[in-house]
This record gives sequence, structure tokens and C-alpha cells, in this order.
Amino acid sequence: MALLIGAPLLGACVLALPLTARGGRWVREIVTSLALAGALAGLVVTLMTWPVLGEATRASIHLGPLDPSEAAAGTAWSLAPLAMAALFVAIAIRSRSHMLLGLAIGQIIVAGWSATIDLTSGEAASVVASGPLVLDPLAASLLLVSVVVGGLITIYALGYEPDHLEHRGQQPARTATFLAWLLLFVAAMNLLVLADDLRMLAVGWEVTTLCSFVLIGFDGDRPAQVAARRALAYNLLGGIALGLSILLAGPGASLTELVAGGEPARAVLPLILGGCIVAAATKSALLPFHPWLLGAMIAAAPVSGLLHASAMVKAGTYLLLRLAPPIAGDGLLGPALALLGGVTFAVTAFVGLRQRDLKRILALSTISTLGLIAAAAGLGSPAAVAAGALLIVFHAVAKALAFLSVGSIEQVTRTRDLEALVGSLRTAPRLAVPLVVAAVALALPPFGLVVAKWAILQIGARDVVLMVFLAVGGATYLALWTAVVGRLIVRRADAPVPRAALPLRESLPIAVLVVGSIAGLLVAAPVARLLADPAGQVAFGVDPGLAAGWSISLAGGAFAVPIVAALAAAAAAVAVVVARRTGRIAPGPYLSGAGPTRAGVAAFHGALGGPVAVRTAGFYWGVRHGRERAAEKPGPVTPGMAPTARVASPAHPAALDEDGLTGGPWRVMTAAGWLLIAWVCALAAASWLGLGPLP
Amino acid sequence: MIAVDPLSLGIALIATLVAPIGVGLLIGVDRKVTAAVQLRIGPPLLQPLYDLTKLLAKASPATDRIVAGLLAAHLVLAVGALALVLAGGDLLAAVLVLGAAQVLFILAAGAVESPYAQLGASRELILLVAMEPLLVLAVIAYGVAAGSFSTAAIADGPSLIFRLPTLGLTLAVLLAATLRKSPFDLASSHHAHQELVKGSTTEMAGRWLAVAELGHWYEAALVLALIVLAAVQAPIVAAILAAVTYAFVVVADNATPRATWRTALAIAWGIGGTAAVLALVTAGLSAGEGILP
Repeated sequence: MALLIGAPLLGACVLALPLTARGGRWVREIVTSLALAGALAGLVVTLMTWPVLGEATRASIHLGPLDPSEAAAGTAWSLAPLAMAALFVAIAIRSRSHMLLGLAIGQIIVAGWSATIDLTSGEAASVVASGPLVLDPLAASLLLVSVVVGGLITIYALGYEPDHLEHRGQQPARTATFLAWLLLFVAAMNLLVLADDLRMLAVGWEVTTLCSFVLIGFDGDRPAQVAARRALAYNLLGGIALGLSILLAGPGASLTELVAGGEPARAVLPLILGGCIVAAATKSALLPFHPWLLGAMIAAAPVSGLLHASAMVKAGTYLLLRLAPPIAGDGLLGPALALLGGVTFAVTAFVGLRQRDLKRILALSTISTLGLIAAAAGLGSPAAVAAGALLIVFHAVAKALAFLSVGSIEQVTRTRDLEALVGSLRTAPRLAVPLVVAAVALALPPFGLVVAKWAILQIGARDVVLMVFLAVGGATYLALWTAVVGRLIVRRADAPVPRAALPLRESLPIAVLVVGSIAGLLVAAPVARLLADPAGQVAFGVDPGLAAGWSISLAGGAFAVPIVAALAAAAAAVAVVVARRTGRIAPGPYLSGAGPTRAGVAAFHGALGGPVAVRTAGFYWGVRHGRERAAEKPGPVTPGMAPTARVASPAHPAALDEDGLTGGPWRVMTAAGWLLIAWVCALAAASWLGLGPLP
Repeated sequence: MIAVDPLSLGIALIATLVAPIGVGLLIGVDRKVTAAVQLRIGPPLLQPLYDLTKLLAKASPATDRIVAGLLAAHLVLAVGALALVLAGGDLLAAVLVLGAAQVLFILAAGAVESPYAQLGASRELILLVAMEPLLVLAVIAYGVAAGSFSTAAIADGPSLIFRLPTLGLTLAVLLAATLRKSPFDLASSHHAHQELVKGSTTEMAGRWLAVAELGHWYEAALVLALIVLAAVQAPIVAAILAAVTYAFVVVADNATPRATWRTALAIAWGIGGTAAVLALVTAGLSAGEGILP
């Protein structure tokens, strides 16, 4: 247990030492490996000491001298959120941002008030009879994700970061500091997931905020700093919401008490839950709070991977799943949360369909999936929580793979513009195949994610509004990944062939994640049996019974995973056999008549007699890339309709930053999100005032 | 798992194998009727099947290995989706598998850089966004009304046709889309009234075109299976409704030449989507004894 948080923490401290930073590559690699091995050993020991895998049990864990029930440690834990808030004030002053300063001061007021009550009431120390940490199947799922996937991302960073820093004009020696922050991130996530005591939860919460701020701004240039401050601002807002919830919950409160609806918190429970929903929505970048996560795409690939796959955004949805029983029991908040999740799911998938920046597509698809998990928490039945846990696990593996492979693609080709990567599945299969595997695992049945999506559709079938959003969002999400893979797969005669050699530290984690993602084809039921079903049972006391043999079953039907997996395998095998038996002929593309094709590059006859090269581009919903380019340089415009016919353009970073982050759809999306959050807050207040159906 | 009866499984297998013949006949009838509307004699009833067998017999090389592989996989998944339904499996799972099949076809369509094929692939993507939600909503309405998503359970239950009166419109839109009736023929049309006649199938010829076509027939067969599933207990009412809906589809087909993707989306979501939402509401109201949570 101590190893789980302590090993990465210690590793981070050692790496942060100036001596280690100067020690060169081997020192930092050995220290990082030891820290990760320690965390992994800690995970194994923890799961062997408290066997919660496949068992619907909760283990209360004491921390010995660090336990908040000890006088000195209790004081320290009460003061820790205050110290974090003070640190944020210092950061705000240093970055000379009035908004940050206002938010940080708000946080320090809330944390200070909370700490004062804690310390003066004297209750805090005595109330916690059970342990301040709780290990149950849901926490174990998140721990597995955090340690295993987070560890793989950190190993990847060993190979990726020096080159990345060099490219950005920084000292490669800063890699040690970078790794230190990654390890601290993992440690904070582990603390957050295990914490039952709300003060410890707050500490984990704020440390992840701090880590994300530092890591997003790690490259040090102006855009990185802007993105980091934006992330900090949003997360400080969430921190204030969480702080207010903790303040309302009273001294010494724990998550267990909130879930049980304990007496001190009973009257203000809706307000506490509303605060937690807002806090989780900021952390998970749900709808009105999405800008910070999209801005964070400027960071290095391991940071994005950590933020999206294993830590940070998963913390928000974890809190929602943890609090699903009281939220669903409230009668007003549950449907509101489901609506917020459903709208997030559909709208972000649509906006994703407008993008050509690969990382931004990944970010929007992450937010989309997080919306689905939030919707599951809002549905709040045992099976829904189990499906949400399944989503968290499978999404972590596939999305980590997607981010790492895009990181490698960007490192080799120096672009992540989808239009500049056309045909890379053919020219650089080693780079592009992992991304395609991730796309398939994210979007197609019977991979775990889609099976979980199937379950949520059936569980929420009675909620008509939610179903409309999930149906539209599901189709758009599928189209989004089809559009991405569709560009990579195009045969283009003059597509650039990048050098495709990755260091082992990069290719190894990618290979492991590829295997993990492909395993998702078959393991939905075993994972449900080990993690998701017990998680639902612990939350509600009823076994959701998702796992049935190798299939996933619900009251309304069963997803026969083995049969569909066999079908998918048959389809893949047929495709491979057919492709192998098909001759390697490559006629030029059909151009409705003879064109002056030269060296395999197709062309039309131009109006002035010269050849005009054929260029096509992918589908970006409602975005007309072709127009301005066509005005600059008269070129062929493919016949047809507005959103599809356009001329491809070379990678242009400025254009990438503009696309889709402004304009009508963006404003509508943000406004809708704020309306929904206002709706959630209003419902929480209404429920508190007794206007709603309280059980 | 539900115990599988070998006899019914065999019947399901045979039904899956002969399903394209049914779809081919339906298309033949459709061509006859359309010809009659346009005061032509039209092709023989079996012409679609003749076309398909002729294409299959042609020895034309594939333009691209990846396209060939994807088309074959598309057919396998489409057949599998129909087989899942006919064998009494989960309806929603079958629809998700069908979505995967459609994705593979779109990838095959856009894998070679002919501008016409690229344009067709883009439009196929729009059609996917337009149609997939309707399919999912229709199946959810079935599930809510019947209390189960298992095809076997739905077929054994009372007729859904009376409980989901508006769903017929959604199914009509879906059938029109899978049979590539206008305005859903904007990616690849059988007629010259679209400005893009062969878009997504531009780079497919001979037996590979036949494989693609066969896959589409299986998609249509799945929608037909959905219709039959709702109507099987009340065949006469169903036949009348089907005739009326078909007349509507034929009129729409002949009245919407050169429709844009916006029209297609508006019709799909405006008519099909609204009808599906109404069906979901009525299903929720009428489902009393359902076993859904």
C-alpha cells in the first residue's frame, strides 16, 4: 500500500534532485524504472493483501502514523489543501493573471474555512473510525489503469521526451524533471483513487491539478503557458466546487458517509453532490469545461496520454461513479447528469468531425467517451455503474495507445495534420497501424468499449432524450474514427515516406498497448467479472450480473461477445487472405477519361493546357478548407457539394489552431454546456429546498 | 447463454444464405414498378440477380489489395449481422455489427484516390451519420416495447406493429437508404438523375463490385428482417402498411432527383428521426410488463 503511492513519490523526489538531473540518461532511466517497478509491486501486494478482484468487498485501510485519526497527521491533512491553495496563489501571482489570482484566492478562502472548522471542532480526528483509505473493485480498476497504463506512458516518455525537448529548443537534461512530474502525477492519482477521507481526496485532486499545470506548460513557450494557465483556471474552479462540497460535508466526512447519506450531511446532500458534479465535470472536461483539455493538446504526447487515458480526466468520472448511488437516488440530479453526459457525448463527437488535427480529434473523442461514462453514472443502476467502470478500463488502454502512436507519428513526420498524413498506413505501417488498432478498439464491436456502450444503450432505453443523444453521438463517433482511418488508408502515389524507426522505449509500450487493445476483443466479460460487476455490487448491494460466461448479459438481452469476436476475426482473416491473393497491381485512379498521369501522380488536363494534379481531401463536417486555398491558387475543385469537395493543403499550424475552435458550432456547444451546468446547479438547489422527489 | 436449438439454427443459416435472393427479387419488383410509373416496360423481374451473377463471373482484377480485403470483410460482417438476427440473437448487437460493416465499405470506397471515389466515400460517411441513429433508435423502440432486445423474444411476443405505429416511417426511410433510393443515392446511384452516379463504387469492378453489392443487399435484408419482426404476427395489416410505405418511397424516389446531402439528412432525421422518437415515447408508455430495468 505504501509502495503504491510512496514508490512513484520517492522516484519523483529523486529525479527532482539536481544531482540526478545532471546524472544523464542511465540514471534517470534506472530511477524511473525502479519507481515504476515499486508501484507495480505495491499494486500486486495490495491486491494480494486485500483481494477485491472479483469480490464485492471493501477494505478499509489505515495509514499508521500518517492516519488522519492521529492528532498531528490529522492537522497536517486538514492543512494540506490550504497549503495547495497557497501554492496556487503563488503561481497566480507569478503568472500575473487576475483571473487565476481570483480563483486561487477563492480556493484559499474555501480551504482555509474548511481547515479552521476541522481544527477548531476537534471532530475531524475522532470521526474517522474506519480507515481513511478504501480499496474496493472500482478503486482497484482505477489503480490498475493508473499504475499499468500510466507506467507504460512513463516508459514511453523515457524515449520520447529528450527528442521532444531538443526539437523545442530545450535542454534534454530537463527530461529528469519531466519524469519527476509524471511520477508525481501517478502517485497523486493513486492517492485520489484510494482516498475515502475527503481531505485526502482533495489533496490528490489538487496535486493532479498542479501536475497537469506544470506538465502542460513544460515546453515553456508562450502557447504552452497559455494552455497551462487555462487548464489551471478551469481546474481551480472545479477545486472550489469540490472545496465547497467538503465544507458542506463537515469535518472528518468521508466518501463512504456521502454514499450512505450519513446524518451530518443529509440535509445538504444535494448541494454536496451538485458541487461534486461540477468538480468532476471540470476535471473530466465535460461540456462547458472542455476548452482546457483541448488547449492541453499542445503538450508532449506522454502528458496528453496521462491526462486522457490513465489519470486526470478519469478522476472526475471516477468520482461520479463513486457517488452514483446518492446522485441517482436524488431523483433530480441523476437525470440531469445523464443529460449532461449524453449532450457531451453527441456534441463533442460532432465537433470532432470538423477537425483535422489528430490530437484534437483524440481529445474530442476522449471527452465524448467521458460524457458516456457520466451518463452511466447519471443512470445510476448497478449495471450502469458496472458499464461505466468497463468503459474506464477499456478506454484507458485504447486511448493511451492512440495518444502514444500519434506522438510517435508526430515525432517522425513533424506533423499531426490528418491531411499531411494521407496514406501513411501504406507508406509507414509501423507508425500508423497502432493508431488504426486504437481506432478499431475504440469504435467497433465487440471491443470492450462498444460492448459497454451497448450495455448503456439498453440500460437507459427508457430515457428517450438520452437515447436520442446516444444514438446520434454513437453514429457520429463511429463516423469520426472512420474519417480518420479513411485518410490514413488512401493510396496516394506521391505520399511522403517518413523514416520509421522508433526507439525501443517508445515501441515497447506501444506494442504492449496494441496487444492490450486487441485483447479487448474478447475480454469484456472477464473484466466485467473481475472489476465491473463487483464495483456495481459494492455501490448498490446488488450484483449487476453483466458477466455471463464470455458474454455480457443484461435483463433485456445478451451481447454474445465470442460469436461476434469470431465474426470479426473471420472478417479480418478473409480480408488478409483476399489482400494477399490479390495481385500487386496499382492502376492510376479513375479520372473519367485520360489524364496526363506522370510518375503515378494523377492529373487532369487544365484549362490552359497544362496538367493540374488531382488532390482530394477528407470529410470535415461543415468546414471548407478548399475555399480560401482555391482563391489563393486556382486548382481543380472536385465536382460536388460543399462539405466534401475541397483541395488539400499542406500542414499549416496556424490553420490547425483556428479550425473548429471558433465559430458558430463552438459557441453553441459552450453555451449549451453552461446551460446544462446551470441546470444541474439549479436542480441541486431545488432538491436541497425540498422541491424535488427526495427519497 | 440461451440454449441453441440446432434446427432453428439451421433454418437461420439457410435463411441467411438465401436472403440476397429475396432482396434481389424486391429490387426487381421495384424496378418494374418504377418503370411502370415512368411509362416504361422495365427490365425482367430477375434482372438484379442476372446483373449480380454476371458481375460475379467476370474475371476482373481488383484495383487495390486493401480495397479487395475490406470489401470481403464488409460482406462477412454484413452476413454475420443478418445471421445474428435470424438466429435470434441480440438486435442491438446485430445493428452495431452492421455499423461496423458499413464502416469497412466506406474505408474501401475511399482507399483509392479517385476524386469521384473520395467524394462518394465522404457522402457515405454522411449517410452513416444520417442512418445509424435511426437504426439504433428503431431497435431501442423494439426493445422497450417488447421488454427484451433478443430477437427470439421479440418474435415470440405480441405484434409490435400496433404498439409502435410511427416506427413504420423510420423503417421506410431505412429501407429507402439501404436500397439507395433517392435522396439516399447521393454516394452511388443506380440512375443518372444524381450528379454523382458512381461515387463510392468508382474503383470497384467485376466481382469486387458484386461483393460490394451483395454486402449492401445484406444490409437491406437486415432492415427487411426488422420490418418482418414487427409485422410477422399481423401479416395482413403489415402487407397493407408495407404497400402504402412502398408507394411513399417510390414517389420520394422519383420526386427528389439531385437532392443534396442536406436534403438527405433532413429527410432522415426530420421524418425518420421524429417518427423514431415518437415510437420510443409510445413504446415507453405501452411497455407495462417489460422486464427492462
